[in-house]
Amino acid sequence: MRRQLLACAALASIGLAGCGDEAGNGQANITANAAEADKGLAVVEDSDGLSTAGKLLKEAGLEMMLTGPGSYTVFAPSDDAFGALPEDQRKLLESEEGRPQLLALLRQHITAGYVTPGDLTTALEHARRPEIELASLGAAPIPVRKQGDTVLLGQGDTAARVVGGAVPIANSIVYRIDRILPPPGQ
Amino acid sequence: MRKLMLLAGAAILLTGQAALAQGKGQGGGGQGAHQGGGKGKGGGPEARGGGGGGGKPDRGPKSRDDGPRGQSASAERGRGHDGSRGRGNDAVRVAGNPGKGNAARGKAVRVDVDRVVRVDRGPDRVVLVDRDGLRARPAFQTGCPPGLAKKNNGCLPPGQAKKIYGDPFSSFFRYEPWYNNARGDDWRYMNGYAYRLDSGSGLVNAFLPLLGGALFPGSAWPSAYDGYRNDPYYSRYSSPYYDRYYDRYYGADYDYRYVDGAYFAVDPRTQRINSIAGLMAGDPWAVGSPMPPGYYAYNVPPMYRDRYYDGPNDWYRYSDGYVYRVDPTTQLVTAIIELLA
Repeated sequence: MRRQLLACAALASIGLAGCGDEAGNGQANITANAAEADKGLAVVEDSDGLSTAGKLLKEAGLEMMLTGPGSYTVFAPSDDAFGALPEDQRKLLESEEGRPQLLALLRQHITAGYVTPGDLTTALEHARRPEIELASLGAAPIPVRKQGDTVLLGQGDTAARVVGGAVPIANSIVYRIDRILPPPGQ
Repeated sequence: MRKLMLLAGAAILLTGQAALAQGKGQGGGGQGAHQGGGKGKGGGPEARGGGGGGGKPDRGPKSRDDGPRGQSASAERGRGHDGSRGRGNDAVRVAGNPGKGNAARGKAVRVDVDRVVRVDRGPDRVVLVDRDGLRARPAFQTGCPPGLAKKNNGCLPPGQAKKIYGDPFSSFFRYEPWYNNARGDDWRYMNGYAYRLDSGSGLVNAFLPLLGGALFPGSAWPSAYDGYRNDPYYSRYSSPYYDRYYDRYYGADYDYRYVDGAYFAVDPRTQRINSIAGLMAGDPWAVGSPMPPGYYAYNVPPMYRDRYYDGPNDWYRYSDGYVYRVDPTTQLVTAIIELLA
């Protein structure tokens, strides 16, 4: 059952019919996609530029959460973004000692629910202000705005850009951003 | 009694589903006179020239241009407007505002008090979250954490503990205001705990197990810490709903326990944390209250998008395992919907 639900989510997230689809080929799609859903964070790790984020999400103990019933939108810093950190900070995030810091950082990059690129664009287009906020699981909401076709997270020059497509994983979706979000209040 | 509750639950289920089905694509409809005396909307409807009678105006044909209406496109992706296609087996329970007055939803939505975690009843209002509306706060613990020796009225701090203030990632901590120097507190961390040192004695006078530190898979569940019971969100999240919510997916092998904005699967035999089941946004949602900030964008999980999609009459937003129905005009929460099989 769980497998099927995950598969439904995966199918829905990429805009395919399947769950509740009475057509005969619906089940085939579910079966084919169940394998993808069961890969868990490997889907993120295997995505272009997200191997570090996928590994750190796993080390932070968030795999069960991101493949479970809850729904999240993850703005995952790219490999280059993590690579740009000073070495001591990078090592701290990768260490057991620094795991509280890693989780604190990651949850600031995760918002409640499943926000597709279309949802973001629609919300920004209809808002009567240049910026909206997404409720994060961390210390503060994430400001979102658009500059041309680019979606920016954060404010000013420290804003991160959403780059590439989104990666669906179970009930959650993962975006790649080109830098680590600035700490709240900065 | 149990039978009565089950019957009530079934009635609520039917009411909720019927309400949802009727609420779609009908353009609002008129207001039942018997509902017009319900909870007011703070003048919003009148200000917009809506219908009279003290009830809510017909919102259907009256379109506004400040909402993410394009999100109703999710309803256009081959989904029917009755909202029930393919989802007939889901038990969706709605806690709503019975006095709101919206004939488009048929009868007033009944409140499934058996399912609502915490209920504070006002004249015409059901509140799920704490009235203070604050996000989760740290559940400071007293006494000595494991590994620290007790001395006088505190504990000897670990010698190698590092200051949290000044740590490159300290501002990411969810409780950063409690850790910084602005309050004059000296917070340190080591071995998965944050410690607050008394400015006079230098002894630990409070501590906090950190997510990722003492609160992490493999660690013993800190059941002995009384401070958790003082966490206003403890009762909200330590509920049968979340037990069922997670059991549905992970099986009943674990106990699910909440603390400090996180939900953990705990092995009931060993009392050790098996995994992090979920992180909570912890935003204050309550029927009759404004939608919390940060939810302007549609965010309903894929498997529920065919049922809960934005339209001129209703928005739907997801948070912490619930879907919330929101009035697009007033931005007030009109129902809390559980997602359970």
